[in-house]
Amino acid sequence: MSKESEVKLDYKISWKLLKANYRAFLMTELFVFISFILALLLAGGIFAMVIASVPSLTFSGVISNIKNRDDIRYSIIGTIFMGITHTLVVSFLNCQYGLAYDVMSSGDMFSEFKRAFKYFQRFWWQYMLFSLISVVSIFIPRRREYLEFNEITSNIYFDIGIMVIQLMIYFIFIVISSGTLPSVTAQGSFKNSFVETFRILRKHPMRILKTWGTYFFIFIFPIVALSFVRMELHNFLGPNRLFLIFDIFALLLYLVYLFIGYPLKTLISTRVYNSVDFERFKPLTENHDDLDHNQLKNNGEEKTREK
Amino acid sequence: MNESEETEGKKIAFIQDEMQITNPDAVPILFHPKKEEILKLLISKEMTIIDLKHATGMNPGTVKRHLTDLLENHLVFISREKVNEFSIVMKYYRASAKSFQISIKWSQI
Repeated sequence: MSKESEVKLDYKISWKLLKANYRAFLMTELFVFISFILALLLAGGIFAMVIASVPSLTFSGVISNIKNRDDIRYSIIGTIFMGITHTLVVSFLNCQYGLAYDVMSSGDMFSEFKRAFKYFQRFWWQYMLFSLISVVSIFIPRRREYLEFNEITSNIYFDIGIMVIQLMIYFIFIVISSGTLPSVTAQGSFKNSFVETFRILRKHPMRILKTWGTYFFIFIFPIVALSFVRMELHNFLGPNRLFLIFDIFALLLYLVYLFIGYPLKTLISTRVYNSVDFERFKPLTENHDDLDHNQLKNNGEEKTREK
Repeated sequence: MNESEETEGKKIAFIQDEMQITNPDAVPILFHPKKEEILKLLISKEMTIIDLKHATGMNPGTVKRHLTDLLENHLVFISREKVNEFSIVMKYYRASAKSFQISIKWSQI
């Protein structure tokens, strides 16, 4: 089978499995989505309480500061808050690697929403660490505030340069995380998951680049390109109602990424991890399903894996 | 204990002709209509959870929970694991015996 057809198969099979298990994945995303909205409401409440308790602050003053970017502190607080929320939310979203494991590697060929909590309980710090790394992609789009505050003027070439760097960082992040997270779910060790990722990359670089390059152009590039066009148009036109269309379209693209792109990514990466040939560490199957392991021992059967 | 034999690269599990149920906890499991339905299917051939889902119309989560009870009471076992051509691991279940007989004695202490 050629490598091209393997890449096609990655998408075809993952899409089929996503449709068959949409309920578990969709529930995870809805849980994350609702948690995010609640976190925003909670933060808004805390913010309002802080303003109300400090006599020198007024609602209109603070809102004006945020709107006109007069005070960099608000931007920093906003970025830190978004960073923390993003880390927590994406950590739970990473449990979908566990659901993908259930579907593709556990032998059961299905998953349930409640299993996401089990995986979060087991791999919470590994999932959280990866979310923390992806926070970098939040700080880069916010560069404008810092540039404006430091009176650094940017031009289109500068913006293109930043966008290319941003895309490259995110691509590297996707390649590493999509190798590491299925590995950590399968064999348990965080350190070994990096070793396995680099083993896969060394042995199958074209397969990885083609699979994730395709993913990048379908789900990530449109979001980044749209925000770039919006930013550049804003520089020329200033505030305009036209940007509302851009914002709605950007939201739609983001929802497509969240509800289709992200679960598809977990299934594709698990399939790639399962299908490529490389030197693997011993999988910790008993960690996932104690009963099955014990049952096999009780029956004196040996697990056989047939290709 | 179930025996197995290697035939053309496949490990085929042979099941006992009859199994004596001596554990009282296993009795209600045997008489549960859904578990009974699953057990009867697994007596005839080995099946995955998805096969059982199609055969019984139950959702896979329910099938898995019934299978867990059956596994805990040694009424079924995992006969083999196969990785299909799409690199998906498939776990097959099989009944531990072709027939089950309840054999519980209550004797005077």
